Formats: sequence, C-alpha cells, structure tokens
Amino acid sequence: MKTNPPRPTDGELEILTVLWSIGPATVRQVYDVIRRRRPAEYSTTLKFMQIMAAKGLVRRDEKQRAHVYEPTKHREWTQRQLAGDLLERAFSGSAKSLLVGALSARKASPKELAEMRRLLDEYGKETK
Amino acid sequence: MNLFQTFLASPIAGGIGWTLVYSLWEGALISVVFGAALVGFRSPRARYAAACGAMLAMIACFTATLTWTMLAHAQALWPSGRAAVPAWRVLATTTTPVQWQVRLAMVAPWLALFWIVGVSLMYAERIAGCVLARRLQRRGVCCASGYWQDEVARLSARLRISRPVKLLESCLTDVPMVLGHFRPLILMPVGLLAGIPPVQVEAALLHELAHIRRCDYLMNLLQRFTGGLFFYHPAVWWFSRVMRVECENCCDDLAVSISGDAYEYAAALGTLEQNRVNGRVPAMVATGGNLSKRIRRLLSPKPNGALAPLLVAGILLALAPVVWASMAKPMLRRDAPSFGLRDSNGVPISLSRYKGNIVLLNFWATWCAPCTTEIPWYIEFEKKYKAGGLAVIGVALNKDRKAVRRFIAEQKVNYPVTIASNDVKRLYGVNQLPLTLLIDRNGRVADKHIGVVNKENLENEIETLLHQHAGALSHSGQKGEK
Repeated sequence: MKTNPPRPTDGELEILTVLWSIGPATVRQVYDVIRRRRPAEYSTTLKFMQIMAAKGLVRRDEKQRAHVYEPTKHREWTQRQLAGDLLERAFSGSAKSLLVGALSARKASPKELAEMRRLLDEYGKETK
Repeated sequence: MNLFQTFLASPIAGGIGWTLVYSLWEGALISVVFGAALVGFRSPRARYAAACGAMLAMIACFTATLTWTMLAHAQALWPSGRAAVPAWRVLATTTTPVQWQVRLAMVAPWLALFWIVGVSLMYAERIAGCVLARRLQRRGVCCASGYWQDEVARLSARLRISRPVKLLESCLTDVPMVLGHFRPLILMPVGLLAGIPPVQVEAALLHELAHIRRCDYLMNLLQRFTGGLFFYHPAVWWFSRVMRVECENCCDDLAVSISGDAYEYAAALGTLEQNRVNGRVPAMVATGGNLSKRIRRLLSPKPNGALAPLLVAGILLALAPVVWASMAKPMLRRDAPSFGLRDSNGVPISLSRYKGNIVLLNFWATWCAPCTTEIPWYIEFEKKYKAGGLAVIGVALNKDRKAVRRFIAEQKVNYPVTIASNDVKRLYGVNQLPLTLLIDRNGRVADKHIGVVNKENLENEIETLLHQHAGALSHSGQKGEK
C-alpha cells in the first residue's frame, strides 16, 4: 500500500493504542483490553478492525486461524497526524502544563542529555 | 462606546490600575523575603512551602490593595469625570511632587483595561488546556495490563494513598503524567511499560504516585490559575518556577525514600527523557529543563540545613531598618511655595504673612460641584480654629472675579479667597479640583488632599497640627532633608 492511511477516528485510535500496548493481537485480545476500561461489544470491535484493515490503518495476518492484526504505522506518525488539529496544536502545551509528571513539559536538549548520562555513568563507576 | 468610557471613569478601573502599580513593588518586597528564605532553606519541602507562601502573600496584598484603592476611588468624586490619585496615596508622600502620580492616575484605567484583557486571554488559554487535558483521559488510551495495575495498587498502599489510582496507557503523551484529583489517573506513554526495565517503570510510577500523594495536580491547577492573574508580574513567574522545580524535587525525595535506590531512580528518569528525545515527534521547545540538576541532586549527599533558620532570621533583621526607614520617609515635609495673590476685592494676600499659623489652602472653583460641598466645612473650621492659629485661604480657579464674589456673598464665606494665577497653579501642581493643602507653622506642606476631603480626618489633622510645637516640627523637618 503506497498511499498513506487516513487520520484515525477516536474509536480507531483506541484500538491502535491497544495494539501498540500489547503488540500484534487478535480481535478477541483487543476486545478484552477495551472491555477493562469501558463496556464494549465484541461485534463492534470486530467491525471497527475490519474497517481499519480496509483503510490501511492495520495489517491483517491471515496465516493463523484467528487473524492477527498489527498497526501499519508507528505511534509517532499517528501522533503527527492528530496534531494537525489546529486547536490541539495551539493548546497541547497548555494542556500539558496543567498536568504533573516526572519530566518537564519541555524536552531536554542534547547537551543536557549528555550531561545527565555523564553524571549517571560517573556515579555508576564509583559505586561498582 | 459610552459603556467603555463609563468603565474608564469608574472606581473599578482606577482601583485596578493603581493596584497593578502597587503590586509591582509589593511583589518586589515579597521577592526579597522569599529570596532570603531560598538562601536559608535547602530542603525542597521548605522551599516549596516558601513559594506557596509567597504566592498567597501576593494574592492577599492584591486583594487588600484592590479593596483599599477602590474604596478610595469611590469616595472621591471627580469634577472632570476622570479617575485620579486616591487621596490616601497623596497623603503618604507629601515630599515628592505629585506630577508623576497625576500622570499615572490618567494611565491607571488603561492599565486596568490591559490587565482585564490579559487575564481573559490567560484564562481562555488555561480553560482550553483543561478541556484538552480532559480529552487526554478518554482519547487514545487503554488500560494497562493487570500486572501493572496491581503494582500501582501495591505502591500506592506503601505511599498511603487512599484514593484508587487508575493506570492507563496513552498514545498521545510522551511522558508519564498524572491527571485528576479525586479519581487520579496515571497516563503512561503506550509501550513504555513493556519497553523499559521493570525497575525503572516502578521508579516512574513511584514519582507519579508521589504527585498524587501530595495533591500536586490540584496545586498545579491552582497555581496556574493564580499565575494567570499576575501574568504581568516577574516575581510571580519566579515563584511559579520555584514551585514547579521544588515540587518535582519533593516527589523525587518521596519516591527514593520508598524505593531506597537513588541511582536506579535517577537512571529511570534519564531513560524516560532519552525515550522522549528518541521519539520522532518534533519538539515544542528544545531548550530548558532541569533534569540534570535533579539527577545531580539525587546522586549527591544531602547537605545539612541546620543553619537555615538562623540565616533567614539574620537577613530579616538586617532588612527591618530599611523597611522601617522607607515607612518613616513620608513624614518629611517640604516648603510650601510662597505666592502673592489678590483676593476678589483686589486686596493683596501672600502666604509669607501667615508664617506661624496653620494654613489650610483650598484650591477650588465655583463650577466644581464637589469643591462647593467642602466650602461650608472650611467656613466652620475658620470659625472654630481661628483663635487656635488656623487660617483658611481659598484659591479660586475661576477666570471671572464676579462669579467668585457672588458665591462668597451667597455662602457667607468668612475667609479670604483669591483668584489663582498660572504661576500658582504650576507651583502647586493643580491638575484636579478640589485640592487642599495643610501648611504647618513653619510654612511646610504637612498634607495634601486631591479630591473631596474626609471632613473628620481633616479636622483631626488640623487639631494635631495646632497642638504640635513649632520647634519640634522644624527639627524633624531639617533631619529629613539631610
């Protein structure tokens, strides 16, 4: 498939997330993960994944009796597609600054990363 | 358009404008104390608490000043409909020319407008952020595996978190995050749980759980919305930054105290950041961050903070005289510019003739309604205190002598009223009416009121001045000039 698949809808995004989380999986496996978060129907999940295969968002491996699905694109590509939303682009930084997490909303510079590695390595050598 | 002008002339606009100006130096003062606290306190918890305290102090000062200035503005009725210098402010600094204050008074309503627009934008941005943040918990997420859910439950028990914590994997975040206060969620970037060593996942989870334990999500929300009010204020940017940094340090300490291995924990932070940089999502901002500092802090031995309280006390003690001196400064008095004018009948009057008396100098005009409300009070003062040494002099800004003469006759004004010259207007900086000065026995300006005076206060001031010994006044005046 040469052309890029379309932007996934929210429902499709959920299925993709499950596939990224647990790796290539059958519809049953995906359905089990989704059901842990919210009530869902097996038939709906199946329908969704068939549509996604048709759109080129997932690839179907039909070698086994139960078909195994895997995403065609990696997470970063999809993230970039979703970031096309103007509202999202304008306010994603703002949304993230409202959350708290282990790392700052900004990325570390390569220089800082090197410094960090050096500190960790030095300490590791000292203690070993 | 009318509404706009009404707003600019309202006490609200003037009050907000002046409050903004005052908040600048209030913030500066709080920063000094806060800076001293930072020098003294080494532990992240104390520093975080200090930053919270500084934030609260800002809010308290802002609210108090706003109430005060709005009341002052509401009391003063301005003839020209413009907001002006609140009387109490002018009272406090009789030494400096009021020119800059008058100019600032013109700008104040516009400052208020600027502030309201700025705050609206800030809040719009934050609310949009909230909406998107809420979407993050429903969009592109799935439940983490049962193994990690149990792990979260186990760790939150060790941290004594009573609320149930849900662990989700999200394809839209790059780093672990906490969302929600009452039903907290931890969002992990999808694939991370399986992609890095379990020890490091545990370290990351501990950090996020520490945030939940400390209610940081709620605190951060409050901080962001408070910060929005002070978007123009560098001191508040500083407090916010310190809060953010120290909050992470607090969580690092809490996490290490549970896991017990600082090195493993620091390595986990490093891996998380590395993972993010390796991702191909374009960086929003490529600079900044404080991760290497945090790692250094984690790996270095803890400094002893026993000296801290002493140091802070010392700095505060050293500061006290400065603060006291700056409070005492407004007591200094400046010579009242002398003038020679003619009254409405053409009889010359000069200020120098009144040396040894307390002079109440009142600038007014017959067309200024608020001014005329004051006149009966001055008639009363003249009657009551003339024997004690008070002399009331009216200076009318009317061009038309006849109108003044008619007014004097109608109101039975019992004190001399002169017609102002341009020189006098300039010397006394008369930009707004009414303007009332109290001049002490040595010919120095003791008080200056712009706007309608508060009769009781003025009377109290007159009595104080009448009772003060002339010699004592000259002494304090000279000391102040040095």
